[in-house]
Amino acid sequence: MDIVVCVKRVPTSDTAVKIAADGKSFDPAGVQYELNAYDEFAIEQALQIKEKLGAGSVTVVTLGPKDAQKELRDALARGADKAVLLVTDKWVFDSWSAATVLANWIKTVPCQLVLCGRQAIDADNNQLPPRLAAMLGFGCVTEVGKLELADGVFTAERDIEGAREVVTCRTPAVISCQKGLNAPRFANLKGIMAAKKKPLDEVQAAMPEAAMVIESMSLPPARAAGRIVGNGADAVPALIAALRNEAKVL
Amino acid sequence: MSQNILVVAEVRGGAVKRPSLEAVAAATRLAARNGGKVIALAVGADLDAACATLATSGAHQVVAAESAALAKFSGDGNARVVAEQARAHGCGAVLMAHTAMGKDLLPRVAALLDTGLVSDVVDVDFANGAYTARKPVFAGKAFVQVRAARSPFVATLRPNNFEPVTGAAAPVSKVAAQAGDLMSVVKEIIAAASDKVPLQ
Repeated sequence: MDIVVCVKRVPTSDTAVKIAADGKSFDPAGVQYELNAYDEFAIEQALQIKEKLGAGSVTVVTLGPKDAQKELRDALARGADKAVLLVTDKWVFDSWSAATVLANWIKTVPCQLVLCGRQAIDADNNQLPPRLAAMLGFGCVTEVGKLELADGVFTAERDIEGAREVVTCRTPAVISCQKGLNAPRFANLKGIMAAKKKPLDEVQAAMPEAAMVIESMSLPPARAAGRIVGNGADAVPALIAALRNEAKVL
Repeated sequence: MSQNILVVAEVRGGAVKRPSLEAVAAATRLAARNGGKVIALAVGADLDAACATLATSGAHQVVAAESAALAKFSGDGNARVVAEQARAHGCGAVLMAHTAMGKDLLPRVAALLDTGLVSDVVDVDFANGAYTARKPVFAGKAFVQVRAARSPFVATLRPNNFEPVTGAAAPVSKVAAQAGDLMSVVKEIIAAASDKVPLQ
């Protein structure tokens, strides 16, 4: 099975977001980057499927800046066979244009399975995997926490509100990976050395104009100070009333 | 372009989930700004009870797209039906709640309609001929205000963020949905072992 894993280079999860001077993007000054955490589950799943089948290939692709070579080399060191960097200098926010570029590229390579993280933790769009599936004519299961493959059919389990869903999906397929699907491996020294000789191709991405245009970016309002509504069991009705009528969370 | 707004209802166990009613309420607010009609869409089988709920949710019209093959959710099958209904009603916007089903379904609908999608929306508006929406990024450490540059506008709305409304009884129509060749289908829903109360 030829597997394509879509990954994204994102600001580290502990980044203190600052707004750039244009008021429409984040200030990249001092920001450290890493492989999107959910994508690690996708890479691991691809490697496990290849190892189990004893055949096929794992190609890791990203849409991002040239610096994303580092994250791709990391994926190669873990065991991927090949990496492709679709180069764009702008921060990728709009999923329609990102999916357009990625789907067009995937159509040019042998591919029966696309694996992605459930979402990138920068834009939090949570939509690329099912988008790709529709554009490629593939089946799709999103936010998968357990995955099995038998006779070309996936059986996937995913959490939904208050329950767990079991979904069957034919190949070719797009699967988006949720935390808990597997335990991602680290690259060892042998893998890191081998990764230096593995192919990493760069292709200039032809990004279309965004379908969703960012007009402004802002920080959330500062949190107001807390309020003590009372003490002990006597305060419970007042607390419930406040949660229901003021905070509107119940 | 018509400004009709299609709201895709999430029906589980024959009942409409509350976040879907919130999405209808948000749609009615937009319709009041651009003069469109709100069409609530339920897809699947045994939809009578769900349609009765949707009829008084503020929608101007309720459509039941019935298909025995879609009695259980299929991401690709449901997406084809929703995209077809969006085209049939000339919709300028398609909304759904940002739930497990909404996150799975609406991106496919947006892809079939070759348009953008803004997810996990906490506020939505229509002004100067364009839809705008506000959503969190970086796990809520910042927010972006986006403007839709392609049509239709497609959005998933964060639950517990828009108050449901009650409206006059809207007409309900039924259409036979063409499920097509299904690639992915829900086989089973297992009740969670946890005794946590779902917050939606």
